[in-house]
Amino acid sequence: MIEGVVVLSILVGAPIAMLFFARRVARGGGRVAPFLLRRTGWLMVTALVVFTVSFLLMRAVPGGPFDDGRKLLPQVRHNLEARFGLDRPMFEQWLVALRGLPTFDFGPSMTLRDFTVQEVIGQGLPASVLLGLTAFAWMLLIGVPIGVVAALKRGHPLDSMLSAGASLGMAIPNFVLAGALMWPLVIATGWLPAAGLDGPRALLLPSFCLGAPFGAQVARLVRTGMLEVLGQDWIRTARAKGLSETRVVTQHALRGALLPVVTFLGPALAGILTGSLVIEQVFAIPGVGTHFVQSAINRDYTLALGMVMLYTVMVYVLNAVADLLLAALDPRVELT
Amino acid sequence: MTALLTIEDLHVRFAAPDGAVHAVRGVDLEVRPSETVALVGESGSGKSATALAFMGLLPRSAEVTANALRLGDEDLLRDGGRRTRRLRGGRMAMVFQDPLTSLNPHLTVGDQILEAVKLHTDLSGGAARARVVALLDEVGVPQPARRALAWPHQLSGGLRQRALIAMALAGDPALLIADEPTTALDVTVQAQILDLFQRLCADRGTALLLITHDLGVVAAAAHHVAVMYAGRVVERAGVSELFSDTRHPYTRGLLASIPGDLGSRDRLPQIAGAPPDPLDLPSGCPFRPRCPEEVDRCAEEEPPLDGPAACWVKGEAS
Repeated sequence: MIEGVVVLSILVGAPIAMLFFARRVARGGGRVAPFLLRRTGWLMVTALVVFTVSFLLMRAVPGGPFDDGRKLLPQVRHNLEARFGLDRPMFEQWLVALRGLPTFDFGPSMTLRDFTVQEVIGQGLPASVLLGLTAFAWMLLIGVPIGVVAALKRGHPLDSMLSAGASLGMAIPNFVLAGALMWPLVIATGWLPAAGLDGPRALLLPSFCLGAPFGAQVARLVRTGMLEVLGQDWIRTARAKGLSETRVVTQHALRGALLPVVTFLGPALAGILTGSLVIEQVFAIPGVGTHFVQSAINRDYTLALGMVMLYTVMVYVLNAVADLLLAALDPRVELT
Repeated sequence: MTALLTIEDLHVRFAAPDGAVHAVRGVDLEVRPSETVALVGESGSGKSATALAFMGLLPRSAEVTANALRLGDEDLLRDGGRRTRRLRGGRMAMVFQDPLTSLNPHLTVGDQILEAVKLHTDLSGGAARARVVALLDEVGVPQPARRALAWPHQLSGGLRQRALIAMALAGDPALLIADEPTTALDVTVQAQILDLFQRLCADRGTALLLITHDLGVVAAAAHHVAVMYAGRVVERAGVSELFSDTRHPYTRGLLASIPGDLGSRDRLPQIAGAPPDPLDLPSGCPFRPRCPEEVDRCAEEEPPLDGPAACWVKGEAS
């Protein structure tokens, strides 16, 4: 239910947001259409290269999808390989898989019997996206206010405390944080469920553990950005206008201070995606993260290829959105 | 006529690593309604600090004390700067030196002026936007409706300074403070901007405190002049008296170093030496080490500004 809402709001919200950014950028003289075309072109090239390399690497490592310790009769193994087309020449296999790339239709999973790659992704992706988005929200919710307060209280003990906390937060891996928080919040008090994804309460802890380390990094970026912006001449102009200090910060300083954060969004989103592999394991969340690791270990050629391509496309698209957002916030940035 | 701007015995100190810098050391200044007063001096003489202190725009680390800071009959020293903020951008407005860095690069020019319009007038929505375009038109920005939608980096320095002037006019100020408004601009543009200030102040009856180091600008635009040196006003006069009957040796030195009808001389005369270190002022008159007319008394006692110039030898020397 909740996953459905998420998927729906992304499908509706993302194009509206893109349209909004694009309009702003176009008003500033940025050329959005060539940018989108160029990025789409590069996405196709990148996808093809990643696809081919992972296709070859998967088959280059020793072992195959049916070497799971049990002895197979030669005839059975032959039948299995014939069923998944593994007896065909390599180039033909590559062509068949390539044909499925645009729709992620890589055929049936080789180890999860009765499931196609599409079905596995379709079932796990909403939970993973939900987890990632909530972690993303935590990241901004923690990072931006802490960074702003630390900058405004520069040199004050509060600043030192927050900055030290941010350094610590960056150093703690998310699974350690998960273990540390699970004791007081789950085991001792029973406030939050330990695992699974039944309802919003179950989402709180895993998303926090996933997002908090990135929030610490955002806090440091915002603090530095804020201090730099507050020293600019145009902040004095804003004050000379008679704006209150609050409005000087929210309407003039914050926008400039957030630019480094937007630049960091691409790497942060990639980090959240990979970090969710661990968090999904720790909290037994039925996302796609588990399959990412398992398919590689099991030499599930089709599923592994599907997972790699899924992450490739996500990272690429999210980076493009971050670039567009940057251009929308800072009209001097050229779209490339 | 009562003064519009009144500054009495203003002191500004900045904390520095090796002691406090006493940047402004007891400045008295008056600007009457509709008149243009020039505040002249070298960099570091405390002229900008004086203006920023009056506007309440110095960093919190600066220590400001004064007997009086008044705009009309509003006492700016009371209620911890809240009154100053309310008047800032409204009855008193300021234009800064560098138009290239004084506009927020992330907001359109129009939006930045719109903020000031909304803050200081009752206009909103379309009427406020129309006012922005009218202001841009008034300060001589061509195609004002289109320029209002532009980002700062799309405009030239001259146009940006005009936009900043439009922003300062948004609250229809009685007093405008301009801190070296032409220094960062091309020479041809400088004259245009100066003309603009004179026209606007004449049309609107706005008083102008013009901070500059350029005596040519002073001669062209000001009614009264105050010359600052090492944090104090050392000479004060009407503009014609200043040029015809100069009293302070420092002012004489400044006037002599204006490029003009120099004939065949190949070097500009200049004032010997450098401005004093604010952390280590000489005893007596701070101009003494550079002064060609020094007498014994100069080393013992700093001359006060009673009369036109703060100098012990003023009468006899000229």
